[in-house]
Amino acid sequence: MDARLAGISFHLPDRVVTNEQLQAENPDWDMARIESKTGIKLRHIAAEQETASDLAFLAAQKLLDGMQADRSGIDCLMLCTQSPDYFLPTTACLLQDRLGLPTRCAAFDFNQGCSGYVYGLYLAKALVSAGMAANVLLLTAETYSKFIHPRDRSVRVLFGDGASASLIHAGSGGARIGNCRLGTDGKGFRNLIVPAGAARLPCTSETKRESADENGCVRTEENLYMDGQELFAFTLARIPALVRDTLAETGLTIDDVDWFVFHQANAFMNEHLRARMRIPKEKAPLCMQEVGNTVSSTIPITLHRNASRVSPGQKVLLVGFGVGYSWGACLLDWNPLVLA
Amino acid sequence: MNEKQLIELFAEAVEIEPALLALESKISDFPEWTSLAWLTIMSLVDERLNVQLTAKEIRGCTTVQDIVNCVAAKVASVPLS
Repeated sequence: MDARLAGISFHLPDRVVTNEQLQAENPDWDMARIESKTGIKLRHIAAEQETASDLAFLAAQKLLDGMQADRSGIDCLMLCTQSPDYFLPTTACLLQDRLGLPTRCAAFDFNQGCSGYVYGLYLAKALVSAGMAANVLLLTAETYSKFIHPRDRSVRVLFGDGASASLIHAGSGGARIGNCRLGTDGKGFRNLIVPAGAARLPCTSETKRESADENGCVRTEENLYMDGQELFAFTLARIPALVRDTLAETGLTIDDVDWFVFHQANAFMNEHLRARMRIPKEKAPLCMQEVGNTVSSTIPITLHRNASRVSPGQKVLLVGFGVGYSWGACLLDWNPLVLA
Repeated sequence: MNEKQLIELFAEAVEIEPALLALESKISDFPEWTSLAWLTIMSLVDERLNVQLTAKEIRGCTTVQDIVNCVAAKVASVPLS
């Protein structure tokens, strides 16, 4: 049985932080140069009391209302997040209730970052094509801003908060989910991490101590840390091969694919990756100028913003990569879907 | 690609005059040589020489000569002097 992506929506929090604001707050940051490299002008940031589940709820409402979906028919809810409301229970349980989904609906969180949307499609395809679920609601939601130290330039300029909602079903409408390929290299786990706060390193007065690194970026062990050079090296080493192998399994080459939707890390990295794989610029849309890097939501947001340009029958390759290290690619055979 | 061209590539990445860079130049003498500049070097040597530098290798470099050595160790077409 085919699994199809029937609809997508996304939601961004109202509050916006512009490069001008960051410049005023941090006179020592070269925001003009950072903007020219990252391609990011502003990012949306959740309010103090606003969590990932609040953002996911609004994205899901928009999708279910826009599709006029029968909520009683949703039999699986999965939420991809690394900033859950609680250690336990799983945030998806709260969302099942808040969204008015039936009590016979399965609900769980899965913890992935930039590869998360591809993971969600992979899982949803497996459940639907095995006949285990008929309508899967896949949510991605992240509020990395809550982990970020305001004086850590290396991550504050990049990440934005946001959420997406997608419906994957066994019905006839929407883009068919084709070949999926995932990969993992846990050796890179320290290079994008919030070191303290869970069981390995509980919060203490020591983990709250601020220190500046050699680039002048300030953080504590309870904050998000990213080694940009390591992440860049990882991406160059893994992603061209991932794209090649995912396509080769279905007898395709890069030239056979009409659209490439890459995780939107930053413009510099995405453009380098694209050029390295000799993918024409017009086939790989960038969508980060006014959202930043929203982690697991970048792929559905980019897909949503560009879907009207995709024609029926075209092939779309989704490619996610990052924290873990974790990566994945997924091929879609395009058919129009609901953009809510 | 020879050493001179490699130095020109580094100068292009760091956005400084190539004449200002020599093999013995210390990276820390150039305020322009930021972490972003390093990413540009990584991307240019990948694009033009198919050489992937690791973050660990980069951290071990204090002079231009050190980076030349790192690149040369990975590509046969860069003669050492």
